[in-house]
Amino acid sequence: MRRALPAVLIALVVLSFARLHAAPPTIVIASKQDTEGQILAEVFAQLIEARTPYAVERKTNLGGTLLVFQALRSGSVDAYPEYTGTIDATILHGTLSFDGIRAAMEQRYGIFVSDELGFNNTYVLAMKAETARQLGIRRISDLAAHPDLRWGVTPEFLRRSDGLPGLERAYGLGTVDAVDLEKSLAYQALARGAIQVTDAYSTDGQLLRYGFVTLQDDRHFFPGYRALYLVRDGTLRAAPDLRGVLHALAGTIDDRTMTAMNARVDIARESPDEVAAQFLAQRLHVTRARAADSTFSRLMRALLRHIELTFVALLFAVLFGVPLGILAAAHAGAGRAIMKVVGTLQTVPSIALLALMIPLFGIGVLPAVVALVLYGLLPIVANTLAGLRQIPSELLDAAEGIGLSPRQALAWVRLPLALPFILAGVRTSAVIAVGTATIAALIGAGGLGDFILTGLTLNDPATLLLGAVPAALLAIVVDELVYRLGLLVRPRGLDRA
Amino acid sequence: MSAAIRFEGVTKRFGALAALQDVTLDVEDGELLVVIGRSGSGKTTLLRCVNALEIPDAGRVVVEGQPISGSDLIALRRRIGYVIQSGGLFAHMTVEQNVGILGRAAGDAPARRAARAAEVLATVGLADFGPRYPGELSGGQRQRVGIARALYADPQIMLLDEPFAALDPVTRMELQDEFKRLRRELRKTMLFVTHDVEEALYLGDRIAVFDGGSLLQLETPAELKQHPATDYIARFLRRREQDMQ
Repeated sequence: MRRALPAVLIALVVLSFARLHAAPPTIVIASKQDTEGQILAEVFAQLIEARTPYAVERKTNLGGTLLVFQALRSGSVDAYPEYTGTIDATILHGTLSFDGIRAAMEQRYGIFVSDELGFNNTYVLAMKAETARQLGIRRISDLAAHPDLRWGVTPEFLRRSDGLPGLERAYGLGTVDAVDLEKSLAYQALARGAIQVTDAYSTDGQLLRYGFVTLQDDRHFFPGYRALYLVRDGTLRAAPDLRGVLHALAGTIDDRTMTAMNARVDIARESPDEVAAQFLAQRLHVTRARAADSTFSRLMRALLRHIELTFVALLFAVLFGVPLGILAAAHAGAGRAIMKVVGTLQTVPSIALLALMIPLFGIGVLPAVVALVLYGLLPIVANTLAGLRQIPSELLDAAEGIGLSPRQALAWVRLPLALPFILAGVRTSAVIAVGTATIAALIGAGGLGDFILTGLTLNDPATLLLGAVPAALLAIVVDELVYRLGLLVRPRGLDRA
Repeated sequence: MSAAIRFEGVTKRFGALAALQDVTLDVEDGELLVVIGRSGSGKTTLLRCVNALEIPDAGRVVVEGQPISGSDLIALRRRIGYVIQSGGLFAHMTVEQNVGILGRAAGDAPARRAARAAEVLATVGLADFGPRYPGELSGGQRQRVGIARALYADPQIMLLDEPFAALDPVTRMELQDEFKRLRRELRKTMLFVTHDVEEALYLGDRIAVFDGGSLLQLETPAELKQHPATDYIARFLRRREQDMQ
């Protein structure tokens, strides 16, 4: 049994690597975490499934523009929906026409920019219909005559040059009376009359819910945020039928259609998946090629993936953490350096750490596991160090004095005596891994975090709990499991001293 | 008689503190030399110089004719039995595993290890204690196991660092008696460190009195009783005389 243990560990390591690389060749469609992005990703994915022989893998919870664009460049993602304004400002840092954007993306990144889908999801200003009618305001330029109105705007809009400061100059509004408010609070404040004007996105489903009117941008101040798909050139070469799919979708979604679809997800609580299917059925007469998975089977898949992520990460955290702890105990200088690095890793925000992983490992399970291992190191290294340090010096003298080599003293005396501490560290690390693995969804690794992120994005507590409750239960089970495993491994004599 | 252990001008400092100052001393083959002194006298440092747990800053230690500075320290330590206060047993190992650990280090077959462990455990009067854990033993039993472990490889030299100091007086007397009997059977060279004058007088062939890192007196017990050169010994002897009267 003792001799079999290293072989079993090696087999587990090899298997876990094999698992990580065994993804079948499919088109990976991604999106950011917003409702609109998820609907557009579903529209593209379902039309591919209906009209081409390709399989589709969805990664619809990626954490932000830079992250998902990095993933596209590195080839971890084949396509995702994006906006002209975002490409211009965030990726190309220019002010280009559509043709300019298309040429620049092709030249610089080898990425194909599809035709526009039709709608423009830009900034708009929203007011209560009643207030706007009473004051006779229809266009933004009408606001210049009403400096007494109270504005409530998102912090981002308050500061961006293409937000409030630019708007005030372009329309000669002077300095408006503005407070910064989180978006959903701003809508409530507007509905109750605490503010009279707020910024919004033109296709936001909430506008329909509250019945707000939007003001015409008569001086064309706001840049266009016209939706389209970005697709890797290499993907188009390998899967040429995608061109037909993109062509079929061009110009099919106007502002009103997109707003209605967003509202159905955000307000009526339909899934992006159903909304996309209905759109394709009505507009392109497409019947679904594949029935949507039941929630239960998706949950089971997420749970299994979560367990896999946790277990593989924990395994590697132990394989790296224990030797690092031994090294730290052996040399005071190295010990301080190791503890500093491992401690600092713990403080790196998870989203930043994940973003750093993408150029190195792409997206998916591998970078998520690497991040989880880095987060799991601290308790194991610290406890290994503490466990080795608490051994009474006379026992270390005894081991050395009777003639054990340093290696024998470590394997036969020091590590067994430190084992209860090391196991406590592994237990802490295991619980951290279960919790941290929920963020792995941000990088396309799946797991229960998919449900939690979707629940947060769609403001849907039921979906959120569907991820959060199993994650919490899993943490309890893993804690108990590692504890019991520890009792089996723990040297017997230590309970009697 | 040749010297089994020879200290030649050994000096050892810990920072500003001189633990040993220019100590020259021979431990004869087969004798039991007791090193006595109060805390901080350097007696334990002297013993730890023999199995190279401490390396002298000046002078040298010669064991069985070989200066230890040039030799393989792990091989040297395995030729020297080492017993410390409270036994120094490893709590996670059974008595048998503790006693047989040097056999494991030397690659002895498990059956041979078990047989030899049983043999030395019988020598110290703990024949059936092999499967127990140190946590299940009394202080005296742990100390006997410590001695058994030191005897495993049948070393010619044994170092004993206050082996009985942590025991209650009655158990200590029992173990001293037994140790004296054991010594007659084994005839090994022993360097025995203690702060207990009574123990030194009872067990030692010769007694080396240390204070402040220096060797002050080296006598047989009988001579020491006649001419105690240090206050430490003299005061103890006076007190004992008063008790007898």
